[in-house]
Amino acid sequence: MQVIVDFLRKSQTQYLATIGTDGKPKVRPFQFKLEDGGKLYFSTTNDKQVYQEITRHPYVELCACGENWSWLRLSGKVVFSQDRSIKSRIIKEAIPLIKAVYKTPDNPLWALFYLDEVTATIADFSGNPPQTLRL
Amino acid sequence: MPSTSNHVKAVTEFLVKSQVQYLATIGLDEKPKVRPFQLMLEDGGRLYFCTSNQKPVFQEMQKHPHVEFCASGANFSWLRLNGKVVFSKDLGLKARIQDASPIVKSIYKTPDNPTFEVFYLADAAATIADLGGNPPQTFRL
Repeated sequence: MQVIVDFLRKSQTQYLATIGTDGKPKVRPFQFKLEDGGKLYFSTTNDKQVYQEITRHPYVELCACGENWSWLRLSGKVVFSQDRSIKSRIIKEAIPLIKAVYKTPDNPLWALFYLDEVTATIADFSGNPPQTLRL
Repeated sequence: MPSTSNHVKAVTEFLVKSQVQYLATIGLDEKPKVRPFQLMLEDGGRLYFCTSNQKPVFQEMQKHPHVEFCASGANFSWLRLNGKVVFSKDLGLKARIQDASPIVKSIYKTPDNPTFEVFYLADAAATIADLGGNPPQTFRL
């Protein structure tokens, strides 16, 4: 788990793929928020297209790149959470931009989610084959 | 949304500068997939990419030809590009791609390598957001 968290943090930006409401694949920049109790948390707002997409098709995949052409692919099932303590932690630890977006844990637009049924693949181009981990 | 060569130029420049793009497809398991990818070249208004027909991504695009790419630029700008995958058997084009990319050439060696696949996007549409206060711009290519 720590390897995945470190990779996500270092990459800064990840790319989240979903199935659109038109049935076609969609992908946009996204940002890992934090890990808590073995769960990887992300967030969005419920007025966005991506919220409709993950509500309808909860299986998603994220991809990120690291140093030396390394990459990570992370797939799983979106589970929404109302956990106020996680939201408070995100506000406390997040960059000012996120604070400006959400302001308080009670913001009704805030859609916090973590991934269940997680599979991660890391390839480092070191000559070793990509490693797949089930979390 | 008129199609103009200026739009193709803006998208091509964004993709080249970004170095890496992320290609989303629908997997054979009907779940979304995404992996790093790279623009090879633009020719006649078409954006060309390549892959191997030994990879899952090739099977995925055969089954579900609609795909989307995403890339980031400076100052939190981003581009999303979607379209329908059309494979090309054009050996001249395959040779140009191998000449333009030493890595691709080292993998496939020759333009007629039977595993080497080249595709472009038909019915392409792109959205660019620059977070400069302007709303994202969408245009057909």
